[in-house]
Amino acid sequence: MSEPASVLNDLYGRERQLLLAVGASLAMGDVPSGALAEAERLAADCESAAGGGLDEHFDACREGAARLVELVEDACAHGTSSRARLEAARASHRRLRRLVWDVTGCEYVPCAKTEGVTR
Amino acid sequence: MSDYSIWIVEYARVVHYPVSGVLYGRHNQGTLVLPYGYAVLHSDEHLAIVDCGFDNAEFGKVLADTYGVTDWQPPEVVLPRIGFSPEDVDTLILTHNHFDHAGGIDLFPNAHVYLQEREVARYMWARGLPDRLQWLTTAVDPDLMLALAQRLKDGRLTLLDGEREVLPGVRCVPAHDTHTAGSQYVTLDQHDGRWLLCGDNCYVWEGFVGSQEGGQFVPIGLAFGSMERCVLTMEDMFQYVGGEIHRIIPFHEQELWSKYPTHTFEDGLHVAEITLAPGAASRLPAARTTA
Repeated sequence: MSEPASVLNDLYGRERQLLLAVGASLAMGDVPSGALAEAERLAADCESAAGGGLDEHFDACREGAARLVELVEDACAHGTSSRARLEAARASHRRLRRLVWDVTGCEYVPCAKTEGVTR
Repeated sequence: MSDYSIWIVEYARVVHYPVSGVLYGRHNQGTLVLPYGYAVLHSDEHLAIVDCGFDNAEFGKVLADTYGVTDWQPPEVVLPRIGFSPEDVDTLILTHNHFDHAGGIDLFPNAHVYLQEREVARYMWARGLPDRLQWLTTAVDPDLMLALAQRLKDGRLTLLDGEREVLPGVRCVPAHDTHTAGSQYVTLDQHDGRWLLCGDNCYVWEGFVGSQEGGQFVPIGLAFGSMERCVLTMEDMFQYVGGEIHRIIPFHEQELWSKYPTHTFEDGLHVAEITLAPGAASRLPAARTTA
């Protein structure tokens, strides 16, 4: 994996893990206030990501992180997130996921070809 | 007592699925046909489904292509086969949050969703784990959690803390640390006896028959929890139906189509009519119905 692809994979992994926890928290009716600092760190790290012909991918990282920050800020300010923030976070994650999977493949487990695979 | 008619509607299938993924330890024993389906429960008061399939777009399509899933049909195709529409569904019980069981919740916009709280809370716990342990989270996409959060905002999500009767005569029973951290199965105790919709706590009846293991239960081939819990949950289910294993309904069991009255549609997908409430008429097309 190239260096930019590795960076992309790392940023996506962090976005995915944090959004999963934030989504779970919101689904339980909790305010994910503890996630805000981490979301802001992720957004900052996305700002400098570039290279490898992955401009669109890194742009999707920045967008995903920004929507995640807004989602958490919204929940912290109002005790819950608005439908618009939730939908924006869903849309940005779906875009990022689609682009990342073109580079690194689907991380879903158990995710295995069901035939024709040998080692 | 409320009585329900029960159907299993097949919405897709995998033609070549490894037997080892279905029955623990059955390596190098070839493949089988693995139907993808969900249960439809209908009473005078409610139209409920247990699990909801997936949306064959984006995440769902990538996973489906990876698994070799074919012949996918949306709810607006498979539910009208028994006279219902997705918008009519008022209750959606999720046995667990894997894509082929929970990935279609947006396709049932009016349903109140029930699942075990542990199936959600586990992903908050996992956030604190180091990256090397994130395998534990990679069976669920964040999009599902956000969809659940949207349902909560709409007042149509209930996270269950243990066993609960969610509709008259319909109980959700936790099966934690089995196939997933917060799995559950669904029981109905009604006029014609007990029925149990097992989710992925059993893929095929052969797991109960254990014909090649001297009568021992054989657990599922995939568990995020423990195999011990899987086997003990099989015992709980077995006891609930008094040992009548065909009252345990696995959604991935192709033998459903020969055990229960079934119609095969032109796309090759099936609907099995498991039982009918008193006075309810069959909703299967008369022609080409087997068994």
